[in-house]
Amino acid sequence: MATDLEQRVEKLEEVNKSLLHEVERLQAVVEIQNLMSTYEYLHTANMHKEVGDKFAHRPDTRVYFGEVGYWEGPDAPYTAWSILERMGDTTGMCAIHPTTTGAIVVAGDCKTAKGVWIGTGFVAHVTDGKPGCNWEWDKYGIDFIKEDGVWKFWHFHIYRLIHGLGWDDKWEDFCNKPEFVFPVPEDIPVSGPCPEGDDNPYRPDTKQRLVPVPPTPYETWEDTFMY
Amino acid sequence: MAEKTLEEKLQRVMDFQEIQNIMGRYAYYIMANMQPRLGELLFARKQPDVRVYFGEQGYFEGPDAPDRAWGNFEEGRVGFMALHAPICPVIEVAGDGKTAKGVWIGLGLLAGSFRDESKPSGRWEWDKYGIDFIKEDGKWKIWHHHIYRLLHGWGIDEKWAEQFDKPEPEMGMKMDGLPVDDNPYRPDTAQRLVPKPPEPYETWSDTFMY
Repeated sequence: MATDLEQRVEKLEEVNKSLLHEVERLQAVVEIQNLMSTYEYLHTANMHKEVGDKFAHRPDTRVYFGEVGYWEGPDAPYTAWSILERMGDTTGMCAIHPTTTGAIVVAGDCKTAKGVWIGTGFVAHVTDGKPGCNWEWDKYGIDFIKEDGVWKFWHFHIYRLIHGLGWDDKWEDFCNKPEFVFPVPEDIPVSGPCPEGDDNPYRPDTKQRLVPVPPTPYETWEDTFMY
Repeated sequence: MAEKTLEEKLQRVMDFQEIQNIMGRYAYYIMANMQPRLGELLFARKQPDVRVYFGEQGYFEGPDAPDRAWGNFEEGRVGFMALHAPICPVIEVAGDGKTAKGVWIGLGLLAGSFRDESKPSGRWEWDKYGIDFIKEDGKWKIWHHHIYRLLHGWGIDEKWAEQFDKPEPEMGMKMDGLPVDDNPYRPDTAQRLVPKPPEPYETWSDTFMY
């Protein structure tokens, strides 16, 4: 029979193990915040291959561009951002979507995590020799997975909020313009469409809905949903 | 990085939050026109190599660098507001817990009557920040504060393409060193990874200075 001292040591070891696990979940929040922000800096610097390297390369890795659908598979991020690579010379290009308002939840088992952010940005470009710029505000819903001890993007879903508002446009003109839709080349087809109702950009004739749904605490991946 | 004890792991998470709070305080202080007090409130005072970089102009160096950088700023200036909300953080605390590094993007605008104008005006001012921190007497302090221009001086009422016809502003500040890594948006330049987001590091000699 265990002595009183042995029982107390056993109890302390359990507490210590539990504390270590909870600190690891806190560390995960820090690492995921850093990963998400790093994506934005790489994206602005047109370093799309390096963005792809931040992903888990799994059969079910997905990248959603809100209004056009998703690419799936281990190479999904390289395929999705190859569209931007094709634009070639990046002189005068600045796509910046700094993220804010993060809500991050790490699974109880610390194997996956989920987060949402708002991206406040613009895309500056030079078209036909003329400088131009559009506001581009997005929302992000992202699932993360830990691979070999490192947090990686797993399902990366960009939801449009304000797309196609010209820097010089009047608001009313923007509201009356046809919706801007990201042009996907025919030879880079999406693997599938976005779930119906997930695309909810601001339009004067539509309601804003809770898209994406901010994550709530969950124990393991089976208990939650995919962004 | 060497395996950490439970206490060390917890300390690193707390350091992350404390550093995030310093950058938040910085933004609130400058919005309240408290620039001349930034040195005493947020900066290291015991390091000989404290630096404050103003992206395109150069840097001030020394324990009094923030005082010289912002000391002449008029506190309580009516109608003036400098908003630079720092978001998109990447923060790494050194394995030894003595220094830390972070980058942010500052969403900002300047409102006020500027020296070349008689009427109030508003200007977009988006920046990037690369900042080194050092622990002094148990508290995190700003060590190297580097502001990198992104969009500076964009008139809120002006057309996008008109921004590039204007001459660069001449600030005329006498500084201690030259600028490095200035990469503001221009239609004739490419955006680079400036500043570089920090990566995990063990001790200060393993990393670079912003």
